[in-house]
Amino acid sequence: MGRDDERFMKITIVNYDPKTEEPIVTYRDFDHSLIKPRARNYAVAKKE
Amino acid sequence: MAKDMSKKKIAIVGGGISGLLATIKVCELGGEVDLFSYCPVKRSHSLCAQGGINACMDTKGEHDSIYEHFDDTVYGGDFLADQIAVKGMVEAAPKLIKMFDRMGVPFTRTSEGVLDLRNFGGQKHKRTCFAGSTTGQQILYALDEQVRRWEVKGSVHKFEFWEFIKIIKNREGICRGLVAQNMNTMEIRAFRADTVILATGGPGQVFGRCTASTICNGSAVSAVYQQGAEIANPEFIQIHPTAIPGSDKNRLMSEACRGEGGRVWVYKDGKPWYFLEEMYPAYGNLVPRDVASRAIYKVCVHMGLGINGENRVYLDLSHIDSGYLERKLGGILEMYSEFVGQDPRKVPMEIFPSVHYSMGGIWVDRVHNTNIPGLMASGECDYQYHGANRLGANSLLSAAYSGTVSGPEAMKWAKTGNKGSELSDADLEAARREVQNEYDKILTMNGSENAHKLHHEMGDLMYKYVAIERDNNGLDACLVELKKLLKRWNDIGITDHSPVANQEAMFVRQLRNMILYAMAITKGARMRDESRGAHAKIVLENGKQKRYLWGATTNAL
Ligand SMILES: Cc1cc2nc3c(=O)[nH]c(=O)nc-3n(C[C@H](O)[C@H](O)[C@H](O)COP(=O)(O)OP(=O)(O)OC[C@H]3O[C@@H](n4cnc5c(N)ncnc54)[C@H](O)[C@@H]3O)c2cc1C
Repeated sequence: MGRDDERFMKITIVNYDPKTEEPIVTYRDFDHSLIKPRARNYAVAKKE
Repeated sequence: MAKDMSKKKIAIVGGGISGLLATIKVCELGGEVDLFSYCPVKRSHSLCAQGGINACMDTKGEHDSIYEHFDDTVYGGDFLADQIAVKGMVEAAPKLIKMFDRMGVPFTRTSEGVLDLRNFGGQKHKRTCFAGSTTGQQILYALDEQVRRWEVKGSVHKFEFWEFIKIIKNREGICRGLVAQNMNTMEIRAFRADTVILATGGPGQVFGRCTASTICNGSAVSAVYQQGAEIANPEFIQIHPTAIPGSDKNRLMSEACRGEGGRVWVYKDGKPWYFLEEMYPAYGNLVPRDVASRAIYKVCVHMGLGINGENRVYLDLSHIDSGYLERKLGGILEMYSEFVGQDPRKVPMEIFPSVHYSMGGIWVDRVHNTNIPGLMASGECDYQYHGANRLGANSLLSAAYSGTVSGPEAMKWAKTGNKGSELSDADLEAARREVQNEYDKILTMNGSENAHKLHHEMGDLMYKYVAIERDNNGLDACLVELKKLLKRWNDIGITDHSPVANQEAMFVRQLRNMILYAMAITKGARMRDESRGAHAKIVLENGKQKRYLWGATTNAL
């Protein structure tokens, strides 16, 4: 699978459910306003 | 001297680099610290950090810039780190190095007397400050001395060999204290605090064998998670490419080896194949850890090219001048010779990836508050600065930086926060009693399971399903198995009934926390249907493990 910025450029948040003892996963936005996301490829030198 | 009752009391759990810096900051602002640690604070795991700490010092005339450090960190983290937070950290980095220098940290210098720098993965500039190959130890010792100064003045009260068990909330749900247990006398005590900071380090032990110490168990993080603190990005576990595999633990061979010119290779068609250099011509051996680990895994597991068919590859320093090696890497080369019985100055070392670090941890805002008012977190136990993959030598930086943020913020909260009602003596006793009852119950466990065996099984499960390559079938299976382990925990039998220094009973309590942490990691990985940084998800064909080539190609190219 590749990187999916549309769906997953988000922080995973895990809360504990005391009843089932299981983790509950939700997602939260974060600040990525300064550097625009680009594909990550270490075969080539980085271009900002 | 009469005690000043207006002094603010901050409880700090953890005496690694983050906890000690937070302690110093609180003291500088006139606060008082209760400092808890499993071990004497100067034995904290930060001690083991070898390679160095990143900061744009640009002493090599390479035109390094803070922006470049910022961009390398964000890019290295595959765009999952909060950029404002990262920017704050990289901007502060040079000042932190100067501060450590003033405190007497013996950073390695060039013959001209300027700060020496070395290469590290995922960065094209020399940016890593180091003190030989014992950087963490030198920084920790310097901070320890500073904390002793405050201790002598009465501002710091150390509780070494005490285990943090849980926080105490008042009726408004605000954190106002904690319960801890003395690991020698087994006394359980409740403590009041205006603010609690967790600086408890990483959870490596959730995977059993790892590069970290046995006290890096994530138990404290899991405890507050069960009390309502959010965990963020737990699925991002860093697997370090170069460790010496061992049956008890995996010993790290620092990335500094590659930074100083080490080359990774295996035989292919009878000739050395420098596969990182071939796959990643621009970065070569200095690709970030997630990329290097996947490549080694591919070469060994999918291509069957490991040394003698085993899961090992060569990490080679033997072409480098031995005087130079001694100066730059002496400490760790000695370690390799000692454990393996071969001299890395003469023959290539044999290494394989190992669980090493957690990018995820307790969710915090930019000033290190958790979602529970009055509870803060800093250091490796928080999730803040590394996104989906951490660059080498950025975690001593984040541990240090976050301590300089959490300390002052804890004082601010203590002075001006809306802390709600005070804990009464009855509240404290109720919290203590609860922990005492749980502990007494553990002492009476007489089932058929062995706690250490369960821990072993958990580690095997996590390595099998939640390590370098992950797939949804495997992750589902892992969750089912972890739930079974959680159930089997109830059937543990205790063999040590000693009323003093009962490590087994404490371990049983930690183990339950570790299993719940493992479930959070696994569920996070299960739900994230993509590959990003250290989290690489593969798709199975017909539900079977598909033996296909992965590495960079799975990573959004
Ligand atoms: C072998 C190795 C080498 C490394 N090398 C480098 C490097 O070269 N550069 C780099 O940047 N990073 C490196 N790292 C990572 C880095 O060392 C750690 O991330 C960092 O030191 C963490 O610091 P910390 O202050 O958050 O926690 P730690 O130093 O781990 O301290 C945690 C503290 O919490 C206490 N504690 C934990 N749980 C409890 C509890 N329940 N009750 C009481 N006390 C508790 C412990 O006693 C300890 O005092 C390395 C890691 C490893 C494993």
